Amino acid sequence: MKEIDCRGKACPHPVLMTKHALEGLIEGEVILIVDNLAACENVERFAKSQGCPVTVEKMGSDFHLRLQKEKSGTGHETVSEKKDSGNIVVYLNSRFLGNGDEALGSILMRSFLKTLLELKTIPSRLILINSGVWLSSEGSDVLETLRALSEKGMEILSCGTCLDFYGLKEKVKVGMVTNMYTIAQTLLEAERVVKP
Amino acid sequence: MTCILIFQSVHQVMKAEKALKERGVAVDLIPVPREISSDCGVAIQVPSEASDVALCFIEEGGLSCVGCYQRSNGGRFERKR
Repeated sequence: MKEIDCRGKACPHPVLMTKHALEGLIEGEVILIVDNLAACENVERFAKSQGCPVTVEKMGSDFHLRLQKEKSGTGHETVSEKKDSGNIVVYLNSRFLGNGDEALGSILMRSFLKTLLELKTIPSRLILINSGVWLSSEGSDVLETLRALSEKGMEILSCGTCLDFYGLKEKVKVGMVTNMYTIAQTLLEAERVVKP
Repeated sequence: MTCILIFQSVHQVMKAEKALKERGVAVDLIPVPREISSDCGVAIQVPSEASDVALCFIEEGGLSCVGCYQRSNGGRFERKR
């Protein structure tokens, strides 16, 4: 059985290493070792998105993820299913909506998110990047709106690097922390990307 | 139940929000509901019981609210002033 040591590797390397390992494998098991919870969650999510069952075991300060790969391209089916689901991704790369006055931008953002909640079409994912991550963090005035959208099935993904930069890593209140790999893949696989 | 306060411009909304927050009124900014037409797309929502005091504070601040609507639980709007 293959064992891959991702300890000490910065995001998104553990996910990329997982991807390569799964691609190089027709059937069987791979064990990935990571040393932090964020990497563990990211690898787990990636493997599941590829249709691979995962079991996680905590060994001291490390996490051992056991990934199963089954034959006959189960992974591909999952991927193509996702593509056909008509998924709309909303991409917010700032805490403000539009360029110009920030106070106005902040009001417009609140207004935009609240309006999303009232429309029939709920986006499948919301990506928050750069100062956009303030929206999902403690003290944000749209947390309630984001929670309500999340309950309606919209996945909220905040960029981990950005949270780290703004000192918000421990302050995310809604959704999941993600990496550039998932962000780029989500954008590429989206049927439509909406950037208001 | 909540009350929705309509203003002439977004500048007025921003000033009113600040004034109300400073005085401890629970305010929320919302897009103006489709049923109510307004020149400005943003409105202030306050709990119904706080609407009278909110209107007072708004007037004290030299701002003018051009409409106040009560939202019933069924989602309908009734103009209060």
